[in-house]
Amino acid sequence: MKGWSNLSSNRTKLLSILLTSCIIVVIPWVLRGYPTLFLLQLAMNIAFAQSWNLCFSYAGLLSLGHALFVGIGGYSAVAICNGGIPIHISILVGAFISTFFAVVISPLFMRLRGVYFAIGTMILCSSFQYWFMHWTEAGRALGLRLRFYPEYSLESCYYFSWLVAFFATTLSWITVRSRLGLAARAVRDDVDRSEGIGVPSLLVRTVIFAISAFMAGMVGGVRVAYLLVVDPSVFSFELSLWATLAVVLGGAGTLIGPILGGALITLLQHVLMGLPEISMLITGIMLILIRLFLPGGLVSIIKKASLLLGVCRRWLLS
Amino acid sequence: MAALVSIQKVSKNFGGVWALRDVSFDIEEGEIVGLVGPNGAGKTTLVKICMNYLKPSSGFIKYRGLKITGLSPHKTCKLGISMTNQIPKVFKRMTCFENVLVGCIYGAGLKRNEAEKEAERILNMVSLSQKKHTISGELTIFEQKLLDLAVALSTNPKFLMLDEPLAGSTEKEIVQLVSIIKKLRDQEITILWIEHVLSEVVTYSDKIVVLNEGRKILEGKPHEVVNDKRFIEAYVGEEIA
Repeated sequence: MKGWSNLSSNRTKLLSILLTSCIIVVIPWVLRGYPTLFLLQLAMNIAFAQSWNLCFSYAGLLSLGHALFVGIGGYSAVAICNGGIPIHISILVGAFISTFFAVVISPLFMRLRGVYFAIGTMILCSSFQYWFMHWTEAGRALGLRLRFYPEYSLESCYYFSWLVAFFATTLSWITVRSRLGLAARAVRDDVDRSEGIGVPSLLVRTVIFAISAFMAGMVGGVRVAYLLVVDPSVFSFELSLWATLAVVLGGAGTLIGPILGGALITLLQHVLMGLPEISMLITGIMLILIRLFLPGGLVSIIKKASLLLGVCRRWLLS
Repeated sequence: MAALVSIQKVSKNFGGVWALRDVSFDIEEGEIVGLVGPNGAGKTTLVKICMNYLKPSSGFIKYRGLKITGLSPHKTCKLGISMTNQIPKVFKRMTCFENVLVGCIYGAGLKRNEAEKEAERILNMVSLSQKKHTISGELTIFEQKLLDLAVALSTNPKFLMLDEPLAGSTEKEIVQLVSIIKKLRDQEITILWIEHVLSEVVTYSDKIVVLNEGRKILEGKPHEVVNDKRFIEAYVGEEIA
């Protein structure tokens, strides 16, 4: 009875996490091929959405060029792996290079506030797209090809991408609950005031940005591991936009939101693949509808449903 | 004994307008110093310079004999300096408890569990314990004012600047705020109190400094200052209780 009226109790949460993990592990054995590919992309969308959510919802950093870190992670992973290093280590190193880059640009970018930060990151990401388009060593428009590595299989990529999604979610969870997360939220609400009560706001934002870049860098690495190629389109504005959409549709400021949003946009990406000319139009309409009727995102449906369930249960028992 | 805070020849120029001009005075440890003056006299500018939110055009501030001008605000805070705001500045999407907790951890440098106890104590002191888990953006303006004070106190300040704490409050609210300020004095926190409501400042200050058009025009014991001709001139038309 208690479990019903309080759906968010710890035991229920733990059980649902365990159940989901079991399903995720079993799926490639049961549903081979397309469903596995679909869920692989879903995992990557979740990880990328978590990365963006951490920046935006918990530190107030509206990044519209988050694909930058996916790209840097991806290109680095290919370059390192082609040098003869195992793929998983390459991905990890690529993610660290992404992180390092985020730290390097932070002193300059953190001076831009609000919408100017968004414009700055957007421009930086596009300039990278142009740079890689013309950089001969990086293969220009064709990009870089990953040499075929022995462990390559859809299943191994699938498990690795879910590992990254799980890692990104856990890392977000830990960060948000830590003192760093507390400080980041204070900085998000009022930069000057937080400074005045002892929060080193530049450092806090830099660390959050760096953690987020690490997650995005991992996503870039896994993306390359299963596509076997990375080209300048990885820096496209659309890719950054998908993370934004996932978070806004799912519910910003929660950890479940990016998961739900990630699932929804993966579905959208697959359904709309056949209709490229109107795909963005439909996505846009969806965004407007959700903002109008579910301002809290899909997460609020769960909250409402669990409330309703509790009410029904009580009504049935009385 | 050297003064706790020494303001030395501070000037501030905002694009050709002098907000402050050669202002100097000392604040002794344990004192309450009232800083009064008409609107636009440069009172808030002076507080922001003390907190290092603003850089003075010339002059500097000494705290415990050390020059602090040029530090970042978060380092200034760690020395034991804190301020409240005329318009409450709280972290609007966080609960009252979290608002205070940030300062306890980062400003006062406490461990998490000690910080939580300290946050409880401070909220209790400003009588906001009931609203502990309320998102601060949903508080009334007066409650936000109390919370702003609690946030300022969370950093365990030795020197606290109050920027017009009583402005816009009702009689009852003034009584509550003044009783909190009295408690702070008993904890030996040195206070620089900016105010428009003169009667309260005159009653509780050890010293009063009067600013007018960016210049210090008077400094002295409260009853001497309020009877001075220059002070009355600067405040023409204001009722003095």
